[in-house]
Amino acid sequence: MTAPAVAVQRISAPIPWRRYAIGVLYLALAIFVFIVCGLHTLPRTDTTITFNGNNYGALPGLMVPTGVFNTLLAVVLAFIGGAQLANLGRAAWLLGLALFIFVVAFMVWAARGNTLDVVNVAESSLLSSVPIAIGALSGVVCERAGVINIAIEGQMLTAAFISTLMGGLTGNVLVALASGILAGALLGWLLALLSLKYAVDQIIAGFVIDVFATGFTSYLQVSVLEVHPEVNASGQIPNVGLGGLSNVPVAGPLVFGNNAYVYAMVVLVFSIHIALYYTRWGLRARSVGEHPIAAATVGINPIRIRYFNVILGGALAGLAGTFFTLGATGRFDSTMTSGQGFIALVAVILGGWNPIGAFLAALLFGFAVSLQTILGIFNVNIDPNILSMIPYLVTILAVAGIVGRTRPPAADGQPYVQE
Amino acid sequence: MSESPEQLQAEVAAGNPPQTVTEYRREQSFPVRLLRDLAVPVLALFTGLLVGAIIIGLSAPDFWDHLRHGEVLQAFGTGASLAGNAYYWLFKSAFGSRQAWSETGVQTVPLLFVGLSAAFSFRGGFFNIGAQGQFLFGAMTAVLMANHFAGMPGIIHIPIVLVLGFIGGAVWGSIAGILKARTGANEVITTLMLNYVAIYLVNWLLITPIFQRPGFPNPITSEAVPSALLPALPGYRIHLGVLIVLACAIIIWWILFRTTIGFQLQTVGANAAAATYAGISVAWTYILIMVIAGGLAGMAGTTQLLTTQTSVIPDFAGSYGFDAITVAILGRLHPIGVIFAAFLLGSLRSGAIGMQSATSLPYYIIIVIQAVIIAFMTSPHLIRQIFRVRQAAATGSESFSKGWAA
Amino acid sequence: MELRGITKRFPGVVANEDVDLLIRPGEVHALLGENGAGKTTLMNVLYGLYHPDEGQILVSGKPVVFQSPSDAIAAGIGMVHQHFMLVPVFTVTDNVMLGVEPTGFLGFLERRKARARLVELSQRFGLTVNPDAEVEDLPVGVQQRVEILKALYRHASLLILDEPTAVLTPQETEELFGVIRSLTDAGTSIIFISHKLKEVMAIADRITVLRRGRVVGTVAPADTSEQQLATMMVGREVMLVVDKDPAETGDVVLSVEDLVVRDERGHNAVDGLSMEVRTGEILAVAGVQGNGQTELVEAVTGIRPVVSGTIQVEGQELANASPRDYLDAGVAHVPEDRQKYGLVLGFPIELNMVLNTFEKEPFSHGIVIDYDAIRENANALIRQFDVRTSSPQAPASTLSGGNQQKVIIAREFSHGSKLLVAAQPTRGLDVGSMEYIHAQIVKKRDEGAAVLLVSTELDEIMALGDRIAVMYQGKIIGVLDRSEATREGIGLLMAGRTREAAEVQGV
Repeated sequence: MTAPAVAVQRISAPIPWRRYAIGVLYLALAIFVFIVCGLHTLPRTDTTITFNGNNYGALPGLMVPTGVFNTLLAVVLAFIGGAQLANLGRAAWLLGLALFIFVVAFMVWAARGNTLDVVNVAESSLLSSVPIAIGALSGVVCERAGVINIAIEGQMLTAAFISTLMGGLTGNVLVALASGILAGALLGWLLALLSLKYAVDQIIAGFVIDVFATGFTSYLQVSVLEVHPEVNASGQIPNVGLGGLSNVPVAGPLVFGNNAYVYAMVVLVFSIHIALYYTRWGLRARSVGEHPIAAATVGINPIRIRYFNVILGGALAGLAGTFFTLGATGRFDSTMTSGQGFIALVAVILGGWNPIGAFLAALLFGFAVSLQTILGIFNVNIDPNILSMIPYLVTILAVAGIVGRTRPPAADGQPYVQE
Repeated sequence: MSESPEQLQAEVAAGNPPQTVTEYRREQSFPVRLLRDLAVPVLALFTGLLVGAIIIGLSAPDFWDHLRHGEVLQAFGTGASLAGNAYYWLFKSAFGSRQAWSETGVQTVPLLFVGLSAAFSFRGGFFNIGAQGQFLFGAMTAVLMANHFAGMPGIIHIPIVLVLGFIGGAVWGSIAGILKARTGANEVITTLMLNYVAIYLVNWLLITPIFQRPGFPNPITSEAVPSALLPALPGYRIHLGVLIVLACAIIIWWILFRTTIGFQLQTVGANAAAATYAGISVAWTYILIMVIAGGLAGMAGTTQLLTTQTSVIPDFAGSYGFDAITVAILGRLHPIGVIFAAFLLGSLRSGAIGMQSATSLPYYIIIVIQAVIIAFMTSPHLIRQIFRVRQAAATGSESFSKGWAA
Repeated sequence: MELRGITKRFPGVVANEDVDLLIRPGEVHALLGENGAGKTTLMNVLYGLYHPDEGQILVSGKPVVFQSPSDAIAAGIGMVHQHFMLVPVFTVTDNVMLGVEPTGFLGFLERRKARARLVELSQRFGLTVNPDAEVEDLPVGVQQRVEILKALYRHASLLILDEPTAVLTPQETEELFGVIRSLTDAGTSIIFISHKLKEVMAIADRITVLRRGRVVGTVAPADTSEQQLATMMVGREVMLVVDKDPAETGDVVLSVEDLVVRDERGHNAVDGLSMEVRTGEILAVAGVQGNGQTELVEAVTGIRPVVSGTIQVEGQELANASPRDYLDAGVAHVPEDRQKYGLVLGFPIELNMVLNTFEKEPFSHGIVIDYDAIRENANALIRQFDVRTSSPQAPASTLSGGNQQKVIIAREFSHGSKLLVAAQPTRGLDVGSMEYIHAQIVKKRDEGAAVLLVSTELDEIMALGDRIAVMYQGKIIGVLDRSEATREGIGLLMAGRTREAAEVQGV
């Protein structure tokens, strides 16, 4: 017998085009920052950076020479590009960093000859990200158990409507809040029923709920709320002002004087993260999302867990929906959620099915939303529509795996059929 | 191993539900098949109307007044009469006169285009929800080209604009196709994202000198020149688009069920791994699907532009993106079924517009009806359980999406 | 533990009929039967996954009803499924404690407690495993240990092992037998499900044979023989060898050199492999599952990209060519996973029979498909290959596994005939179908085709191969002529022990 002695050639790894392309993109970005945001403003323009929020003039501003500052940032960006090309550091981190620096450079440039208040920007980003982040938590809770909740949008919209109706009828904000959450949970149950019991494809079931919610709320808005405008008043949850602490510089307005929903969001993000990874419920839910048959063989009922999580997810989406009324405008408008439920879903994916990741992704979207308002103040000559596209383009790049692919729960979206 | 039920369950649980290809089941006689294929949609429509009636009834102010005074019968009486009145006007405005038929036809055309687009891509296992963006880009290309070639005789002008509108939608649609083919990016997300990108991009383009109507401050394009407009029946709004879209439906049917392209596409849709094994290029199939699906949605935008909405504005695409899915599902992803589905939704729309002006009940009720219809169409068990229909309805549910990982 | 008169029906099939089974404490009770004989169904009934239509389960003489696996687990039953029931992205500890997690305040997991118990158990029974490793990073043999630990963690006194040796090398199987003995010494009973006669004879205290859902008999190994067991299992005399003439080898058809192919996770699953297959011979590739056979087959049929190396079919370079190019070059492929690759289950049989030839005459003219020609073809093939079906329009999903495989064989044998690549062609089939398919493969060889057969079943390799190549860690580490090959030698090669193998083979 012979064991053929084959000389194995060592083959060099294929050229990582993707990595190079991104690296070159960063370098291009660096050049762009240097020329447009740096060189362009070199002749002695300054940007004043403040950290005051609503406490105008509490702290003196920081005068920064726009051109010099941005030239420095361009150099940093170039370094990041180099790191990407040389494969130093994780691609996702580098992308985050590059994006952040680009945004800073852009903001400093936009506010040239003017004042940029960092706290204000942060505050309005946080606020804009609330429905997206809480909605994304809904998505995480559902998808970790293997059910895609594309109905977040419809759940939010219905919750916004119901909270307005109940708030208007009872005049009680807490009743409004509770009924909004309940409405979301009810639609969560409906999604569970359609997809788990009646075997409707999960995405279709969610889509049905979205369509239903749009029609239902729009119909009742016109036929009830417009006829009885006095009912179209949800009331608002008061801002939480933690006494004099909100006057502390920088941290004051950001940490201690905020919309109650911002606190709820932060608390929920961390508690759901901990619950998913450190409790029995989380372990079982994730096992059902990864391998429901295996879960069933150790006596876990996948269907029951999925019901629970989808209803919980619905309640979270309901909470997110009440933000539009109780946390913001205090009244209901037709299709007022304007697709943010879908964005929440995207935040789930962008955040790697992880509560904290989803929260960070939501912040990105929140920042993009608030950016338009901010740029409006500075009279910047860029059409806001162009900026609005950026988060969506980033998402496309992300799902195309250009910045490293994340892995969904293995049984996400898969029906589980009981004997 | 493979024949045991537990294996089948594992298969199903692993996301490979046995799929049905309706066209190939020729063992039954035509009337039997027709009856079976119609049972579910008809019951779905009936349920949708019922749910709609309940919501109309509950929203009647008198209903609650009566109920408060303990007059239960009167309460239900008012509710029922309001709903009855609404449906009377709905029906009358959709079919009550020649004008009504014409309006129903006008509403049907774009729905049929987008429905064909969605059905075609779903057949190939490509869950394309991007009709909205493709619709917009079809219209944007068409308006640019219609006015670029101004002065041509209609007989040449119209076909050129239609073809270019097709191409506009096809180019936009193929982005998602290429992304999935090259990188495996999930099409549900990319097409959804591309819708948003399209909306913002168009909003921006509408205020650039290329598109903005001269002298106007708001985002709106010039009107498409008259020679490019589709001729309408004198005295009515019904136009040539009806014939064009019906021809498209037949072509799509032929491609799907009579050509190797259709075979290839349905194999990819049913089992992409087996398609690879059989030497079919799955990547190219995805791109081809999106070229054709995008083109059809682009044609929808183009015919809208060349008939009822002669200039593009930010909200030009309306809800056609989502309607596409509804029509496709209602038509059971079959081109001929889609014709009927689009006609049904078109008549609901033209009826609802008439209903709103006659009774001041909001148009939106038909959206609720649509939602109920889809729920019933896609659940193999729901109808059976509620209406106690035997086997007939249990034709199985098509699997549309395979989760994000697919 | 006792099962009495268990009957379980599925729509159209009776999976178990009036089955009695008595398990004594501390015994290894083998459940022997063909694929589809109802072994797994019976065990799923015992494990609470299915509810029997008739009959009862008795534990220590008292009747019990298992509503779900939890009830079975509570009664001390543990099961190691043929396809492991582990969550790949969880750690070993998380997998083991899942369902019986020690928790503290608010349901917080006490991972440390679970880990300590796991470590203690693994030491007591000699089941070495890293409790913090993620399961997907572990080799199958270790994953099996995790499954056994999972059952022990739940205080199982009866352990069901469903085809536990299917994924193991002969040497790993020996280790498993050691573990089984140490478990029975501690008083645990074992139900050992298998269709492999030799193993059953080696490990079992008593053997119960199932055929078509019924118990044929229960015997002790000492009172029986392999031949007798085989007869009990199949219901007739079985030829354990395939009748074939010596190969008449001709020119080289398939030539592979220095082939490197990656798996999904980027590892070199095929790592510098070279081989040749000639006309008129069957080259049988043996090896434990997961040594790159799947990737090899996918590479030489165009499904999987090649990193480097050459693949030539009759001198034509085809590395990285498309599956279509391979088809055109005359390569037929019977895929390993027939439901994933070989068939579109929802399509009618007639379309499955032209799955890769639909673009060619006479099935289509230009781009127009000729459904009449497809129907004719299907009718002819159904007759020729004896596919049992009600109609050529019936979906492939309605066929039994054996008939599904016949559809694939019919299709693949009706086109390109220079090279046949057959991967696990009889996996999961009953003996009748198996014999038929073996005969067809030999016939194909005798017609002058080159055959590359990949199988993890040593019996199949020995029965069909003219030359036997053993694949280990992506390479062919030995090629033996059938006449000089012994089971033992091949077994050692499958475990990568070339030196010992050389001694055994005496070469």
